[in-house]
Amino acid sequence: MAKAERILIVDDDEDAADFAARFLKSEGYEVRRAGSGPEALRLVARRPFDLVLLDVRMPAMDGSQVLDELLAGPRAPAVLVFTGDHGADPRIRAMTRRSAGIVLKPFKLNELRRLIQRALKGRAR
Amino acid sequence: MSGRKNPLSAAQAPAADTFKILAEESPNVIFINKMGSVVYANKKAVDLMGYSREEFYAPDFDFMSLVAPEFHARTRRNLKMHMRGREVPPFEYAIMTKDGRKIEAIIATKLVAYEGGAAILGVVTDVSRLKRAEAQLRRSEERWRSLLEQSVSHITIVGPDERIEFMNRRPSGRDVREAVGRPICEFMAPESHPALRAAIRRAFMGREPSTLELIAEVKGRRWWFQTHVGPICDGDSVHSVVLSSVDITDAKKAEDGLRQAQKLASLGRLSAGLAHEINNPLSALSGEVQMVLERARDPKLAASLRFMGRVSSRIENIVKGLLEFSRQDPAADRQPVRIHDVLERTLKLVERRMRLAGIRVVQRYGRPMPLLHANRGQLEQVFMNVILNSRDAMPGGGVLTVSTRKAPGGFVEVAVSDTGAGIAREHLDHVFEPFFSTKDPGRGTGLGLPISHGIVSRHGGTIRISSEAGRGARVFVRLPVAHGGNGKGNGKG
Repeated sequence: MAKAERILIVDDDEDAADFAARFLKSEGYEVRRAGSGPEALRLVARRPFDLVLLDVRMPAMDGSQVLDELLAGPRAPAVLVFTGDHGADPRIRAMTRRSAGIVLKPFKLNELRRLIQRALKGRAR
Repeated sequence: MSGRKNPLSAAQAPAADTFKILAEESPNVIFINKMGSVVYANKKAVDLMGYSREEFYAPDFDFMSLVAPEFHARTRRNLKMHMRGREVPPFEYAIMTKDGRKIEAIIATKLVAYEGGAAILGVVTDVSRLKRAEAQLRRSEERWRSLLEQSVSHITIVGPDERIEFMNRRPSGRDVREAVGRPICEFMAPESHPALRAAIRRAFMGREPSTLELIAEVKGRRWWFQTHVGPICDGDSVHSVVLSSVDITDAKKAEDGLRQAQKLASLGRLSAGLAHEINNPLSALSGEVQMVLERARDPKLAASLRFMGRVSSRIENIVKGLLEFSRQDPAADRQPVRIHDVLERTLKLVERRMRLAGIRVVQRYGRPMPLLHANRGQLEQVFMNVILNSRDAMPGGGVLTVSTRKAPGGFVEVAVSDTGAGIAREHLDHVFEPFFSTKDPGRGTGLGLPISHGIVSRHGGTIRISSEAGRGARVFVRLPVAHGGNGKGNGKG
């Protein structure tokens, strides 16, 4: 079996991040968590990720700023916007346009599976 | 007077001198005219007319020069009647002074015996002052009347029994005569009665003026007034109270609209924050339930987890509604839309439900209607919410009327009215707030109208409800016409 794809979950909400991490681990991914934007960027700088699940509303650094940094860096990961806000919020729409997609919290597990697979496939190309 | 006997007995009769003094000092002009010549003129005659006694008594003095030309004919007629021995009633005329001034006066004449012959005794009273005062009074009255009639203020005078004694205008434009004599409270909203009564009482008792805000109400229509209530005093007593009111309805409505908008905006922010805070832990909870369910082997455990999943979905839907309500972004995915197509589609979707509820649908469409630039699905959601609310208001059946018209300012207005129970006035202000519902628990989410309000606002339109308890409700939705939409209805793709 090929080496597991690396996923970074960036979310300041402990419970949401905790569940997502356990679920994705159980799906066979290698998962790391970051509670803030700066922490996420440190982890990414240390070792690249294949995919980032990125919350929008976070203290210290807003999701869209983190997205800028992620996309600007070498070996940019696929990014899925990961939010509890309305998907039609102009700020979120703008982020979604620059990402591989959006996961609205709460989500159906199959929906998350499908979106992650698609995002990873898109990146492999 | 003339017919009465002299009350003084002959023995006590004053000497002729006394009368002469009386005549001399009289505040009226007194003269005696014998055969056309003035044979006596008193001091007042000299003072008022400006002729000396020598001039009066001169043989060639023209008596008629003392009379204003327009009264010459009348005066000659009177003189002739006297010559024939007949009395003449006093009359109003004008005298001419030597320097050409005209003075309004009343003249009373009497035939008397004078130095062995008949003569005319005349008493002339200057009434010019009186006339001037009268004219002044009339002018002043005119001035007050036009002041009242043309005043933008509403002036009402009320008696001690709270009945209207005078009113310069009515807000409804109806005839004031219908209101005079009726208790003022008949024309006021019930919530204004206590304050108004207290102010009237205060004015009558303590004579203290007061300023208050009142609501007039006639046949369900309301007007807001800033009113000053003060006493009208007559010496020591207050005989009535005057209410001077300025119509502040427009300002009040604008203020209410602003307050409503601010309230909904802050509720929107609260909803958005709340939804965000719930969605994060909820995603963990719902995900966990799904994950465990996928692995559950025990059917009882699976059933229990499915139940948790359903409850979780319910919470998700409520939160989704809150998020929908809180949206501020301008409506997206807009296209040229015919309002009648939207209404037709929505009515088709609810057709069966309306029939089952015993509701007749009446459509009154204005044609042609300009195109809208709108999100069709969202508009359908709005009218679906509004129409289903109407259905819920008519559990025993009724009539639902959907009408359209062009509204001023480049809008299309859709009015949806029902014949249901209506909405109480105190509830009207709250119908667009999330979870404000007077329906039975479990009916609807309490988010239908708030979300509709959000959708209409994000289209640049307005939604408004008017109702009276027991008389049904009317919902007015105004949506801006598409740029270049001019009623032809042949929109570009």
